[in-house]
Amino acid sequence: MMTNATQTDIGSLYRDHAHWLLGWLRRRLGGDGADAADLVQDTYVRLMVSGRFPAPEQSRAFLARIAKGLMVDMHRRRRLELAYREALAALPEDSAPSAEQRALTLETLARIDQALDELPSKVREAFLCSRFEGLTYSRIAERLGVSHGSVRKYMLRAAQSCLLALSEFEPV
Amino acid sequence: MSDALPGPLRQYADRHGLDSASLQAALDWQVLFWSGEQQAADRERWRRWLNADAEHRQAWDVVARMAGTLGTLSPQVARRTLERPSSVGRRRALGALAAVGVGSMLMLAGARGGFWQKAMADYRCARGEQQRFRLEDGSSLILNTASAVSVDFGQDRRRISLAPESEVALDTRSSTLKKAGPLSLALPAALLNVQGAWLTARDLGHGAGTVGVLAGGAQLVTAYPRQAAVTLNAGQQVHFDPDGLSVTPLSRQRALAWTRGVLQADRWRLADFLDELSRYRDGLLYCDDEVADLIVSGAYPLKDTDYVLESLARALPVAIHYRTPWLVRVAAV
Repeated sequence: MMTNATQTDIGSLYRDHAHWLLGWLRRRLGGDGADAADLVQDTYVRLMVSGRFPAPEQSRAFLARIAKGLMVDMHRRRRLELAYREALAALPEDSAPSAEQRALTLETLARIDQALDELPSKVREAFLCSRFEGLTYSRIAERLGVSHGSVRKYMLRAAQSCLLALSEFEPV
Repeated sequence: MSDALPGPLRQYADRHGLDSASLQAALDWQVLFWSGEQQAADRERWRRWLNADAEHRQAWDVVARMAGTLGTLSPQVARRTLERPSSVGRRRALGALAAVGVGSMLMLAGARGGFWQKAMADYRCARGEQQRFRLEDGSSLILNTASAVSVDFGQDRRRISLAPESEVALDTRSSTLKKAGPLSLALPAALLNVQGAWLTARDLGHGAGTVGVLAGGAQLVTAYPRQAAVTLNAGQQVHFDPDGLSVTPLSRQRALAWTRGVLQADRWRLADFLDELSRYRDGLLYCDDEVADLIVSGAYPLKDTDYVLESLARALPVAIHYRTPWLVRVAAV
């Protein structure tokens, strides 16, 4: 059950449960206090931004659910960073981007990754084939064993998700 | 054209003062231009649409900016970074992480090949467990962690096939069949002809494997044409891979340790030890290069790999970092 947030809600949620949440996260992160502390912070920020607060008896379950989601995001982000580093390593040395460019690219890729993550795997594959391999929809339809109309529908879904994921963020 | 805009996109349009029908149309145009199959006439229709209304132009600007952002990415880099196995369960995601290979990162069999075969097998054993079976001919079969076999007992032959990266102990001496046909044990890269024998076999992946004979005897022929068949007697073991084959004396205790739920290490490198231990747990287990050459000896219970890691931390100058229960790093203290 949700209630509307007030200042006191936030304060008491923090006072009563932040320490518990830190311990909860630290156990799951193998004792890594720095990551756990970051995630506690992120959990409360997420809660405040959402403006939806749990009923008192559900506070810990609710916080734990948010924290778990953030933990998964963190691992996904780290995995993406590794994959990106690996992809960069395959490039010729003189084409290596600057540190700043790398950070921007990584942010863009992370947003696309998250956008595609919520979609069926064929949508992801169609999108990657189209945008990063330059295949026509007919070729993609062949490769995925689906109709041309399906590819177009996949691409529309991917375009919608990318629009949402990228529009509030624009790299230079 | 397309279905109605999904809710989040309609809200987005509202937030940015965009007409949602125009936004939908703009997305449809963009998807058409991405097809690589548009006609000159499409371009002309698009131009007319764009100039017909300021709201169209506004919507198009937003969509074109998104497309432009995608265009700034290097295609190979984006492809390689974003692609992933078709099924994206957590363990597979971790498998992808391992494939990147950082330090001496060790991958667990969970994401390794041959899963379909294990799924279809007649006998299988979950990760971290050892399981005993009695076959219909009375032979006894023990499967080690994440292993599977299929069994084909016909009129005139008996064949047991190991799934990739499986490990078994097979004792056919107890077979009750009076006139049982010959029994063959097939590994992914070798075939064994077994006469009433007690043996262990393990496929190591990449075309390699080991077989140890505890009692009785067996003939082994590998998949590699230049390697001759070998006859193995009790007390012998063979290791083979595409480059060669070597027969050495068998340590009975070591060969059977896993059947008793024990990991027996005799002066192993820590990296090798973790590689072996990682077969018995889900997720990733890896160590930093600076501790990879530490030496590990002793008998460890396979039932509780967390406990094994704890004991390592007590015996060696290492600390165990659980990023999550599935992602464990062994580092210098």
